[in-house]
Amino acid sequence: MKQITVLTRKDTSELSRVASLLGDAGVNIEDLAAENLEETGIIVLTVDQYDLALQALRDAGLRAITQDALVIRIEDKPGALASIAKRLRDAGIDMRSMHILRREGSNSLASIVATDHEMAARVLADVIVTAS
Amino acid sequence: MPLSDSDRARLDALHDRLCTAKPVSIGYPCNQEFDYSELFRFLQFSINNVGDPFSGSNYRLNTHDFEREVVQDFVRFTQAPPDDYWGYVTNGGTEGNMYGLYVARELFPQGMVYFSEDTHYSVAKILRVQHTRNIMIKSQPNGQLDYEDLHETLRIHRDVPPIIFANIGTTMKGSIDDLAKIRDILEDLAIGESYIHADAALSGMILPFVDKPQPWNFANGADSLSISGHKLLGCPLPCGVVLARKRNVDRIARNVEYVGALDTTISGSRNAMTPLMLWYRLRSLGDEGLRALVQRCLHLARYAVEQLQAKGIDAWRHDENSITVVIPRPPEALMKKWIIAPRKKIAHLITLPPMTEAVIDAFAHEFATMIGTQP
Repeated sequence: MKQITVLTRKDTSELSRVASLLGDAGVNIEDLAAENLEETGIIVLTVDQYDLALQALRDAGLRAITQDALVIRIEDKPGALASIAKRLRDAGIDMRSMHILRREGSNSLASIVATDHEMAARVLADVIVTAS
Repeated sequence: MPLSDSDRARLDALHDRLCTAKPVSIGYPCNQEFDYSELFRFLQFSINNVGDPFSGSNYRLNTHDFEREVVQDFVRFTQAPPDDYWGYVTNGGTEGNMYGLYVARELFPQGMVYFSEDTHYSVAKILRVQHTRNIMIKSQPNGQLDYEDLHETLRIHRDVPPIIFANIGTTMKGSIDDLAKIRDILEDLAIGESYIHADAALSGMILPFVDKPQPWNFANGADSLSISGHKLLGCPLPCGVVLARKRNVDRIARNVEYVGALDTTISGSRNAMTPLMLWYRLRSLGDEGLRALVQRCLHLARYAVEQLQAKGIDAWRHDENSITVVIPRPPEALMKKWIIAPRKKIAHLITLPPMTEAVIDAFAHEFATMIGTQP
């Protein structure tokens, strides 16, 4: 099982749209959780056919983030991402990339790729988007 | 053996399709008015610019001498140090950006690349290919780098050599990151080792020909710079020029004995036709012709903003040196007729030839009619 985070519009119909397009593609959703951040809907999925699911989501024009990246929620203020990078560095974790996914109101969503994904997830547990 | 009738018909259909699309392509940065027919005779040769244009090559069917002259013109346009530059004609802006980031990464293997939210998506791909660590910096609403975020980010990571990827004209908003401000931040934080690459895909051919250019080039602290050749100049084949400080390039030089060339370029075989085309274009226009072309484009950009605003459409430019006119995302029906690149809630017009006042009038009228703001 692999996890995918999908960013959508904040709209209740988006959840059923994602479920339906994955179903049409022959993908089974094993687990699903959703939450909203300002105007963004965040859906975290666990699926049985990872590549097929990514393909279907991309074809539908949705922003899908693979499980290689951690999705975090941070305050939209100068140096916010850098502070996260510092936390990883202080924990001895090598960060490869940090990209802003969406900025809305006082919050930002960002993706992080670190060489030690598991440890990075533990260090950043308080800011990781789990949509649970 | 001649083509079959059906194959010939396919070529005719393609030609018709391109003829139809050309006048309505108003959202992409491609000057489509050019005439390279004088160079058609060179298409009978298998020319190839493999190797470093400044080192020569065993493969003598090349245009290295023309390529060097093109590079030297761009040295002048970008105020590169006359005794410390190197460059070549690339297959487009992305290769130039890749080269600049490659030099930077070789100089600072532990370096961190910083680039803004408004940076072209190809840069994220390059960074992944090159395995270079990177942090995205926030953008201001006008598309410029958020200098406060850059300052705070660098402050936290001041022990890691920063590699700044600066946009000299972002893709969507035409925004220009201020190299002088970036240098000030580096100095303020007493960061000794750093590198700035400037992506001047479109604006790199505009700013040398305006009265008040922003700080954007080697004189303002760039260490390497990439400019597209097919955008403002116009060329049927994608191309560009990359320039870097020679002392940095020399550190990564590799001797490729196979072609008898000291090859510091990224590709093996390289296009020999595009250097010839750029040379031809630069020589036939001359500096005065280039200035007139730029001024014409700027006039049209001003005109487009005025006309669109007069019809109730919120059009704007980053500044007076921009030929990118930002507009709200047009209705889908309008984008079926006009070729425009939207992104999220905005789109843009690029006022390059064959754009005219009449084209702008027609677009503004149709846009306003569709959204109901037509006075």
